[in-house]
Amino acid sequence: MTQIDQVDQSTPASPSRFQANLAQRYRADQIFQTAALLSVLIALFVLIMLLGDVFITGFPRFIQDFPSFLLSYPSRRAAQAGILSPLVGTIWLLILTGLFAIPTGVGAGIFLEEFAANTRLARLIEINIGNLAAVPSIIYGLLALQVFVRWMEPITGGRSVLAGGLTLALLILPIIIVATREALRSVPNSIRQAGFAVGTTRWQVVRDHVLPIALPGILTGTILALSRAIGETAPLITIGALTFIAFLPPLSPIIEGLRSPFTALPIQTYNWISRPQPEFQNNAAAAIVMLLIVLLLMNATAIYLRNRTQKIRND
Amino acid sequence: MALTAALVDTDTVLSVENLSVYYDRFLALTQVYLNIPQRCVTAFIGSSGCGKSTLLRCFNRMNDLTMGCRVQGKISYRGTDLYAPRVDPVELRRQIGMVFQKPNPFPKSIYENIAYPIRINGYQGDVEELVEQSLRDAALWDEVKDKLKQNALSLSGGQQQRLCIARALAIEPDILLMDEPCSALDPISTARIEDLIKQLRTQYTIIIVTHNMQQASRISQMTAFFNSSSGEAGAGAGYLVEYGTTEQIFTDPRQDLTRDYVSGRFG
Repeated sequence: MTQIDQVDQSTPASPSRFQANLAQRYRADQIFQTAALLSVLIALFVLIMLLGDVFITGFPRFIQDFPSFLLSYPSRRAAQAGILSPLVGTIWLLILTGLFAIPTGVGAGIFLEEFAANTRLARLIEINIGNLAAVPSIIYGLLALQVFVRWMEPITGGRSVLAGGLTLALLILPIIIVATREALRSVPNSIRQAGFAVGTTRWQVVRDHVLPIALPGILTGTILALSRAIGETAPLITIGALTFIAFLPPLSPIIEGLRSPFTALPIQTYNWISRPQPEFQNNAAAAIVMLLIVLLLMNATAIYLRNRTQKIRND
Repeated sequence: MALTAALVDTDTVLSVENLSVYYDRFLALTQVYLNIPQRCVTAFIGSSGCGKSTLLRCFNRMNDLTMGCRVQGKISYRGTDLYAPRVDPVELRRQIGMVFQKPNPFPKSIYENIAYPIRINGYQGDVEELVEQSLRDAALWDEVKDKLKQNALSLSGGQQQRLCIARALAIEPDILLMDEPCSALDPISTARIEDLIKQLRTQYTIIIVTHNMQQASRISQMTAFFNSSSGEAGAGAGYLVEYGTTEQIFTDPRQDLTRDYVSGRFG
């Protein structure tokens, strides 16, 4: 009987102790959803405007002289100027930066996450690597100017593509370390324990069980970091990358190539965009189109590699 | 503890003397004396946070991998001090295998899960043969023999756990440590694992942590009951209340705490 009485009390006829107030809560839902959607639209709008502007200005130049724009050197005459040397310079930088930054960054990430004891020193290093990732790139440029261009001149040859690669590697090293650690941290600890429990050493656990699972994450982080590197202008200007290069670094002997002066797409763009003639503005836009293509290709590679490694893992 | 030796007429494999374990400053387990007999199932029971798993993880030195874990006292494994500097934990873990609470197969093929520990430990014989033998020992062979190339994660939870047992058995351990191996499994899978443990206990020394008292009474010959000093889970230091044959612990406990626990009055 008492139970039935209680049920009666909770019917709308008598006042309940709960006031759901659904109408107002749903309104708050709506408001937040609209605000979030608006944020997305603003971001998209800005991006589309930028891309649209670049493509409208740059694409005619890019497509009209399709191979020749890519295959000629910069020139005083806008119509004859091309992006061969900056494009090749960017590719050199990309390869060198990757060669220096990927092994050291991934290695440091593995050490810090899998091997280092959780001491005060380790924590201090951890915090400072996080800080390094946030240091403005021009600071890296200043450091590199002193270390790679001046002190190491006998090796790097001064303002060379090698110095540029080292600079950019330094710049993205903290990003790669952080990405590697994140990827390693996402590997469940039970896998490590499974490995240790069957009598494997720490390196075997890392090599055979942890790294294969973390690899897609590491790859993605690394390629995104490389994408950031090839878009950088400030540190390269600081170390004295040239804006007018009418030759390519020789491939043989490779040391000559490494030590030759260079330019890169963002630098060439920066140079052209600061000129008054509209033809050069078009060239700058066309160079940006090429830079975007390189970036898109890299991101596509990242996605492809990630999917492929994940598939291998799931087989 | 002399009593224990008298009750079970077998050799002692593991002998624990005045063992205390700290996690940083926190005393997790204190003053444990215990002798584990050979080719028996020894069950560790007790409420959560009273140091059962901690003790288990001392036996294969998995606690070495836990930051801040410190072990005091002595554990002898067939006469050797487990924590002596010349004992190599990697080699030790081949002899003292472990099965975990949640099935944790490697995300590789079923075959590779078993073949990996065999290869890594330098097995000189026919790897394929030993893989089959291990899977048979773990009563899994008939279920997986046609899909050895499939990913181990495609198996059911109970099959995954038996795969983990097969993986532990593959490297021919002396002792098998099991940390609540059935707590993530349904009753049918649990029953299969219990059957398996009963088969294995004639060849291996098994130490099993369990929250399921019926399970302890069904499969073990020896039982150790642990409690923590404050009575609250995780708050105080764990200690060994009583250790004896399973029959004695469940039918004629000497401590009131044990009687309350095994009769289900708390815990």
